[in-house]
Amino acid sequence: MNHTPYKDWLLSDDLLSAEQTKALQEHLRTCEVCQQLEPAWSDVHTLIQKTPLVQPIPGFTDRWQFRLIAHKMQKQRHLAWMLWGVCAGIALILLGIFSTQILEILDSPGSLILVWVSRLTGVLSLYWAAQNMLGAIVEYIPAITWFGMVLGIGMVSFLSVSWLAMVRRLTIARRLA
Amino acid sequence: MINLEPEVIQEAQKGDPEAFTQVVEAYQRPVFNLCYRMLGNPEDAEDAAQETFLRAYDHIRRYDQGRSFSTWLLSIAAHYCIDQLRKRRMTFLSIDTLPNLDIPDAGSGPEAAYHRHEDQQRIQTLLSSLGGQDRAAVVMYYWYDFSYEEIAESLSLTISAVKSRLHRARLSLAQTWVDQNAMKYSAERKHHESHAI
Repeated sequence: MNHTPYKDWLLSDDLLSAEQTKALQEHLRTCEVCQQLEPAWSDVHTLIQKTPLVQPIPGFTDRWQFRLIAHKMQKQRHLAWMLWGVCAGIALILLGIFSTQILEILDSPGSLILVWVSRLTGVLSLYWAAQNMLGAIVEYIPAITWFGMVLGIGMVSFLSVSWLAMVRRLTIARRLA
Repeated sequence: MINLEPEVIQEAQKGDPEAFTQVVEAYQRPVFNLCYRMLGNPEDAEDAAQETFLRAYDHIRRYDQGRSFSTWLLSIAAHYCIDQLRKRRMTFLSIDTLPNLDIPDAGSGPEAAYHRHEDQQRIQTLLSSLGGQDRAAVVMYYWYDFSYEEIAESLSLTISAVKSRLHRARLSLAQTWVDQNAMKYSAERKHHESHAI
């Protein structure tokens, strides 16, 4: 037997129309499955309605506060372990990098010192060369050119800021309108 | 459902522990009830309710004031319980643990207490025949009077999915009831007026 709309109607919380009620009553006269379903759902519904909300045993909030403290401590411990892990990782990486250097130092310390001294002198000579070049440029360019450059940069900056301010003002006015 | 002052929730969002304690105080019963109906025993329900409040505490800054707080909180509880059910894949009721429950006193006397206890057992046995999401939908619909929209929001489902799950759950509950009371229904095959009529 086909129960399709009748089961839906039986289990629905909505009220049925007169036609639907009549059709359902006719179906119930002949269908044993729906005859059982109808009082069964009615009983279950009644049982749900008369079953109240259950509550936890007293002291729930206190227990929660203890648990919160434990939770925070666990988080701190977790963070500490993470930090320790990161530090240990960095230390391991550095150790890996320097282990080759250490081997080299142990192998021939004199040559390594020479390499590093030459690197340092190279950097220093680059710095001195740059300093000399800048000094020469400053001496070569006359004072009036410097003044003109500063004035030009100032003018361009002022115009840019004014343009930005104007654009912003115009946009805000439009938004308000 | 409980209506806590929005200021209390705002304070809790700012990190005030006192305000959050008020939230726990106010919502412990609905959260515990949902967890109990979902998991079937008071120990697991207590654990799940405590965990729900810890998760809410950790993520309360993400709560949108435009939404209902109870929907947001019960959504956390429902998702946690569904995960627990998936983990254990065992939803039957442990009857031995029921006496620890603090059931509100609706009447006095040992007989009334016995009937209340029986009803709780029956309900839990019925609910344990449902899947996690169907169970959550039934509890939210019948115990908390949540609308379809609220259930859909809480369980991350569409409204039509909620309606269909509720229909399926009612059918399953009624059939389980018939199976449990087979004697009664075979003896009493008489016509009743429909609940819907």
